[in-house]
Amino acid sequence: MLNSRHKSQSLTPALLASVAFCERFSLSRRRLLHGTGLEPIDLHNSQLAISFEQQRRLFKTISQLRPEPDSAFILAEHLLYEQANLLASLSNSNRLGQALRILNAHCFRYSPLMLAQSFITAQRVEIYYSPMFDIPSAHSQFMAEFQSYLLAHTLKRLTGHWVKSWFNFSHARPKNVMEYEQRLGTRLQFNQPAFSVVFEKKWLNFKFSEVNTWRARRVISEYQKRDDGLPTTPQLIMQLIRNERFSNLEQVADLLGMSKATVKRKLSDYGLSFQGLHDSVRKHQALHWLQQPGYSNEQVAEYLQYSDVTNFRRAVKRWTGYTPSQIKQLLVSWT
Amino acid sequence: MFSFSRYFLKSLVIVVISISILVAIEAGTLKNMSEVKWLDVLGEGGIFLMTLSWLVAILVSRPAGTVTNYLVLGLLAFLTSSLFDLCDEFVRVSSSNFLSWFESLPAPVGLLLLSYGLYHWHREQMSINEVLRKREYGVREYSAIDPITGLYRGVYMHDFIKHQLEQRQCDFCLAALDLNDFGTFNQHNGYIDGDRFLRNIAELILMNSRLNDLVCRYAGDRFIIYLPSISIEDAEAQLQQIEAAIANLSFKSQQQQTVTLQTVSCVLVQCSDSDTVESLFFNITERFERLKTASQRELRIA
Repeated sequence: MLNSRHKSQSLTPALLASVAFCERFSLSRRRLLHGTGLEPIDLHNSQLAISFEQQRRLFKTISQLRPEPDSAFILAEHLLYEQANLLASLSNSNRLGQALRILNAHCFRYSPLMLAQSFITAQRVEIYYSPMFDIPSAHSQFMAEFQSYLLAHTLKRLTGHWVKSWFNFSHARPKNVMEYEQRLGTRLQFNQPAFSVVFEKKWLNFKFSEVNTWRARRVISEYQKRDDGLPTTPQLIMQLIRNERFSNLEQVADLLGMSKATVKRKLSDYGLSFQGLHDSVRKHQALHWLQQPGYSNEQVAEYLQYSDVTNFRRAVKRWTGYTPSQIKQLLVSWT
Repeated sequence: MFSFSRYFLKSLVIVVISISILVAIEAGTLKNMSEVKWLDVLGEGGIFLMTLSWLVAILVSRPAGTVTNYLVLGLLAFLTSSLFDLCDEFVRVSSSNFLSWFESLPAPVGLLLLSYGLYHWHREQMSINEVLRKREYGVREYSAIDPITGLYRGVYMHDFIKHQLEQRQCDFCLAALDLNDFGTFNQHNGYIDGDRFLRNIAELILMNSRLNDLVCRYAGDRFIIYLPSISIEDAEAQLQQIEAAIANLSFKSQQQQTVTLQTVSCVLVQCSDSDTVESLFFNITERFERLKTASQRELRIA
């Protein structure tokens, strides 16, 4: 059931969006493709598929070719246009929650280069993001801008409403904050322990207007059948770390019936390592539980299977640059 | 003065440099390598190369016209002098030779031409400033110009208002306009038309603004106008005029279709003593958001 055929989709939306972006601003295709191993002539091959490493390079090149304050947002806008069909089909699902679940299954195609982990509480939906590759901090701001626009406007496209969301960025308040305000609204926080987006839980129950149950079932099963909708290796491993609390590569390899080297290789296609994945899942879990009212640092440490609070504190500090108590204060200040 | 084309000027530069080198070599005898003073070569060669780079910079960045002519001719004359100066180091010339004239005469003439050119450049700049009024306010920061509309970006407005508030000048209003459903417009007509449309809107806003106003593109399809010394009623009226102008704009798309669509959302805030630029901008954004959520149909949340 594992899907390793992520490379075999035809023309990746990210590539189409990048090319459209370059066309819009009269940037040369040759320079866009520089370093990806692709030639402009390859774009005529409609079966062309690119790897995540190539996608990463494309986005990086775009941020350098057009270093304007709104480039990331515009690139995300183009990606949304390339996905118009997917979005149109999704609005045949019953409720927004279902549509988002399907999107999440397609996440590597839909929102490339970002790993998402979501938590649903009584009130809110929290989505934490971490980059798939080790991205230098200058570029991680670009990726965060890109991802936040993508999510906010996907929600808007699907529902036809402005879904009030809170955006927490790990970078400092940037110079181009007006671009954020115009596209994302006022609920912006900077210098946060991790990049996350939060919206109210009631939206998951949003009902689409023209639901035709028969059609909906067909479209949804269509998307669920497609093998790129199956959980990918990183998603499976994330679930294992999160739900089964697996903490080393042997356990995972055993369960999946693969050798350690195979698991490693599969992860490296996504620019990931087991340790990196493990850390990011744990970090987001820690952040999530620390902001739940009534949980002490000790309880969270115990839940995450830390032998003592000191170790836990050290780990959190290493992941986020903040201690657990500081995080609690930070989160109190905006909720 | 009639204006030379830039092509002519470029050719002229190449021809003059080549002729100068040929003349210098023909008129004298080459020195032995041991006689060459390399420190002088370094100094004079440096002057020559720097002058040449200025010349190239002017030729590539300025449109043809009177000012460009004077600047290029002046620099070219100066360049000739410095070239002969440089050739001097490699070529032995008898002192009575006419070449020494070439070495000393063009430089002062060139500097005179250059000065005259700079005077005209000043006058040209004054008239351009007049054209750019309403687009900028005393400070020119090319990196903050948005290439699509030709207006300054929100950053410029941010820094400008911050400066105004530091000077304790808070007698102004800020008006902001946001095009409704511009995303749909882009989807139907394409980005090229979308960008052209934004440029038209920018022009419309400029036309409907007073001489002392400042118009910037805040971000995306949102514009912001700085309105100094104005009552809130007058600002309201001016904003309505802009709104009406945009509503009456009939845009011609590339497929020769006429698109009239845009309704705009407008927000007006008046600055008070206690405001900061962040609070003003926050206020604007929040009021836009309230407009957005207020216009929404009833939610179907079960």
